[in-house]
Amino acid sequence: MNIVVLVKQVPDTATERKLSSDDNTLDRAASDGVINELDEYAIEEALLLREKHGGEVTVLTMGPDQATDSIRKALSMGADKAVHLSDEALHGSDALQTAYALSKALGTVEFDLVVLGSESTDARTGVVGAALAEYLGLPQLTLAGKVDVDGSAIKVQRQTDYGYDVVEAQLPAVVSVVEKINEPRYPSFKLIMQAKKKPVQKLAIADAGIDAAGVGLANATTETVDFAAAPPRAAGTVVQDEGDGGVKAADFLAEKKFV
Amino acid sequence: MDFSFTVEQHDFAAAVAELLRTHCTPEHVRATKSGFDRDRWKRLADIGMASVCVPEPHGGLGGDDLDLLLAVEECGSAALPEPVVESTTAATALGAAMESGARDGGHADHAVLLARAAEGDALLTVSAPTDPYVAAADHAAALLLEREGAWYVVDRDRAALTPQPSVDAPRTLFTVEWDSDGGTLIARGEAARAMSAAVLNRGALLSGAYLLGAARRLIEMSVSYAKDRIQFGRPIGSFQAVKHHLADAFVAVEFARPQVWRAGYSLTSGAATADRDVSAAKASASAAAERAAAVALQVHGAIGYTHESDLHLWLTKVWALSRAWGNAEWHRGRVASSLIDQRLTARLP
Repeated sequence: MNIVVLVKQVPDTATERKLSSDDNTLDRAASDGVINELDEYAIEEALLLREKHGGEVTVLTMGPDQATDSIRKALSMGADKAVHLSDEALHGSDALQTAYALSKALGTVEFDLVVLGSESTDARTGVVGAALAEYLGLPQLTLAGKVDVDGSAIKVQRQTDYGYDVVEAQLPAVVSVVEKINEPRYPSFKLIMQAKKKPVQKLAIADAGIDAAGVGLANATTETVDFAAAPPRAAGTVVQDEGDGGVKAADFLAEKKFV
Repeated sequence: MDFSFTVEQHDFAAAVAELLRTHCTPEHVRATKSGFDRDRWKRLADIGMASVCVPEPHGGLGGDDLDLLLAVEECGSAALPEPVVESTTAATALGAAMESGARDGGHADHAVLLARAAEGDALLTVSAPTDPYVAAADHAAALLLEREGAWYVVDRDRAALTPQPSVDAPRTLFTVEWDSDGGTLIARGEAARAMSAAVLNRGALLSGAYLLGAARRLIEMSVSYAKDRIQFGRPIGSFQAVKHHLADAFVAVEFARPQVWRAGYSLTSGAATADRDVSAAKASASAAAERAAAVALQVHGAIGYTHESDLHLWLTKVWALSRAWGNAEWHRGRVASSLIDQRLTARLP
């Protein structure tokens, strides 16, 4: 079974993240890039499925040159090869365009299953998986907390607010995973040394047959009109307890409709 | 010539740091009263920590000290309780002894032992030529011990261990008594002398790297505390008497780090100055870490003396390792004698 894992390089959540005032897109120079945390669960799940069913795990990422760091991390965890879709024309693409571009890039790879994280920690739209499945005309199994493959059938436990749904489909399919699905492995010295010898294929938009009019900031279907820093948190109210602290606390909770 | 660490060496250190962030928090360190957590050691071994310097035919990865330096610094930064310095030094020495063929019987057993150590299923330890006690002997399957100019592998069950007081309680220390027929000879004569030098240099180098990490963390904790702690209406870090102390400790650590890296390079490349470079590194790292520990203790208002303070976990590691494998004074002496010897030799007709 050949699996493609989609990974995205995002600004480190531990640092201050900024938008660029030039075009309201992410300022990549402002913070260190790291692999999207949720993608590590997708990589781990793909590796577990490969251990069980054989085949190859290919990493696909779309992003500027720095995204090679995230590719290296994925290869160091044990993925077999990588495809890096990188083109200046892709800059500023929104979620829908990203899904379109990825669907075209997937046309260059043979796969039975696409696995991705349920969202990225920067944009947090959580829609790329669903949009990608639409573009590919494949079943989408989102928010998977457990994945089982049996022959050409795939069954996942889709996490919901009340528990989980069991969703089944036929391969090929697109699966997005949530954090509880596994514990991602750490890169080992051996795999880190092997990673540099693994093939990484670079794709420009023309190589993937991507229409330039369908991607990029100028053609995006959504637009960031303006942005502002989050206001600093206002100071709380200090209540002096003069024997009536309990009443005041209850009044506060009642006012906020907690009780 | 490019002396910088490779991307792979940085990536390995990042992987170790990431693993320790999850599995070696201060709560974990405090809970590891025995000084050895088998599960954590196995996790570290799974990503290669126990096998980097073990030769490939024996289940290792055939790397060198430079591949380990950054990762060991991360172990110090996390106050890792497991004896990473001793176990790595022991495994490397046993691997080298087997590779060089300087052995006398027991070969098959040692191959199994080394492979198990590389997998993290068995721990090895070694007596430091500078120290009277053997660290972590109670957790080890086998000990590498020197006696009368020869090196032996001694099964832990064949040795009588007597516990000794340790400033860092989880770093257990023992005097070891054993009958000669309980040990297997692995090196004698010139080979044994080479092994003694290699063990000393590697133990000093790696404990230096560990100390850099511990000192770095102590300074980070202290700087952050000095920014938070308000006295006289302002953060204590705004007072020169506090911030200059911290800056001095930081500079000492930053100056020690390139010496440790240089020593790693000298050892790996077999430089003629390796002994001197390792001693310069350990002397600097010990002194810098002790300084960082003293400043951290003072900036925190001495609360670090208590077991309940996280600071304590790093302080005791520094107090123990700055003295183990030769303290700063001992290594300064070794640097001095190497320089003086050279000068004397140069003056001889």
